[in-house]
Amino acid sequence: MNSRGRIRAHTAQQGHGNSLLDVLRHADFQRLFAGIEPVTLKFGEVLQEPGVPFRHVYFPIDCVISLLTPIEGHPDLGIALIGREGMVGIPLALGIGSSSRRALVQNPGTAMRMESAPLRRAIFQSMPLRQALYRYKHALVGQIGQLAACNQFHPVQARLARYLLMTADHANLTEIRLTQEFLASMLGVERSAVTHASGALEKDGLIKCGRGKMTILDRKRLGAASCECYQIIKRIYASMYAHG
Amino acid sequence: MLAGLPRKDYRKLLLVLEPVKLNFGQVLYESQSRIRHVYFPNDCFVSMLTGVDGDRSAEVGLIGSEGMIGLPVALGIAVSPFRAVVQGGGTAMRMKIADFRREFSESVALKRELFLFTHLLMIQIAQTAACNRFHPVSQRMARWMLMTSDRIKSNEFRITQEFLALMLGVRRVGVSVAASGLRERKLMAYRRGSFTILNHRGLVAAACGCYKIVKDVYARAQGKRDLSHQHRRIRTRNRTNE
Repeated sequence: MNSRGRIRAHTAQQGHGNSLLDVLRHADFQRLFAGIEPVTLKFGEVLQEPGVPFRHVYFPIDCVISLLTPIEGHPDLGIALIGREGMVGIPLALGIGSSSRRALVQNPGTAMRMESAPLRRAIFQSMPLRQALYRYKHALVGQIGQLAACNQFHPVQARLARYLLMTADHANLTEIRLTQEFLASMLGVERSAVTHASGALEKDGLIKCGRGKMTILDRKRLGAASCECYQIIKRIYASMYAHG
Repeated sequence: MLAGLPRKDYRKLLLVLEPVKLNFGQVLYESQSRIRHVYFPNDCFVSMLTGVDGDRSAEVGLIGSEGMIGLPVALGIAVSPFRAVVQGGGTAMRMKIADFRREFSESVALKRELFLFTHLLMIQIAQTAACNRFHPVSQRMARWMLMTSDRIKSNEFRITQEFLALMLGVRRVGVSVAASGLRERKLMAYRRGSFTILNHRGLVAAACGCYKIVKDVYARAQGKRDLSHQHRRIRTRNRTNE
């Protein structure tokens, strides 16, 4: 079996629910991740502040984390989403102990939490883990670059559709808890633009807006309403294990 | 980047490095295409672009002699997520990726430098993403001029307004308006495809804060690295003395 096949087999066998942890053999996981523990993350919790050394890293299971860039004169802009395919604290894989971005819990749920020192040791000792983290880092850079262009050029409605689909994919859910205010900050637009865009998607029967939540009703048509960036980013993640 | 490596590692790399001349507008990689060489710029600089809708693109990063083009290979992936286009022609050293992979796995210093640079580039990309979304063209243009000037270490560079419009993701008329504003304030001059920075400090004031944020991060990282080199040297010296 090639290494890709092995990775899949492991995932099927144990399934921690996070793709990065799933690359580890059971024995290695036990040995290297002894101190890891599940935590429940609440909406709006800040997991990482710009420039502050990581105390913990997080491997999301069914929550979604937003990476935000602080920017003068505006609310932080959402530049990437992290779900069960990734981790919060990825600069550690490159030997760097802090980030210039803020990490905020966007959809509550469970994550595996670990202190950063043992993770450094695990990275040092486990080649499969290292490889998985590097590949994830690569995909994350690709995501941020794509969203940079997307935020600059694409209309709010297409970006909203893209954002909802990405969030749903990251946590495997169809009902997404978020306020319009929060969405406005994520998309870098005025709140009224979000109201307008979500109203249009709702009118077409693609989503349903409730108090503090949005429900995806028609995934396929929401995909068609989204800009191409949704598919591009999906391909970037799919290719994480495809290129040697 | 290469100059920061220990002499022994650098000499070893020289055996597999090949000098090349890169011309303005040359595409080193298309996005999602296979990387065959990595490039270490000497006096040229290269833009990382994300394309959307076939004809529009946004510049997300600018790399000069402080870095390397082809970073995904350091992360084990030989596919570029971005389009890499030469912005300022000049010379670079390049290496086949098979050679690079070997050298990378054998040189702790090269690995450390490249991981640090990957981190710095990520900060640049994230900052640029937010900057492009919010800040007015003239501020972004000032930032771009300063970043470019830092990378080629010159106050004068050739670039057409068309190209600049592409880099900033705006229409050409937006660039013309911003350029004449900066010219009127005597911050820079523009003549026949050539920009000259006249007042560096004034241009920094005219740029958005993103310029300084990214520059400070690079400077801090550089400082830390120089310090750690010094420490190592001192440690080695102490050991020799003992």
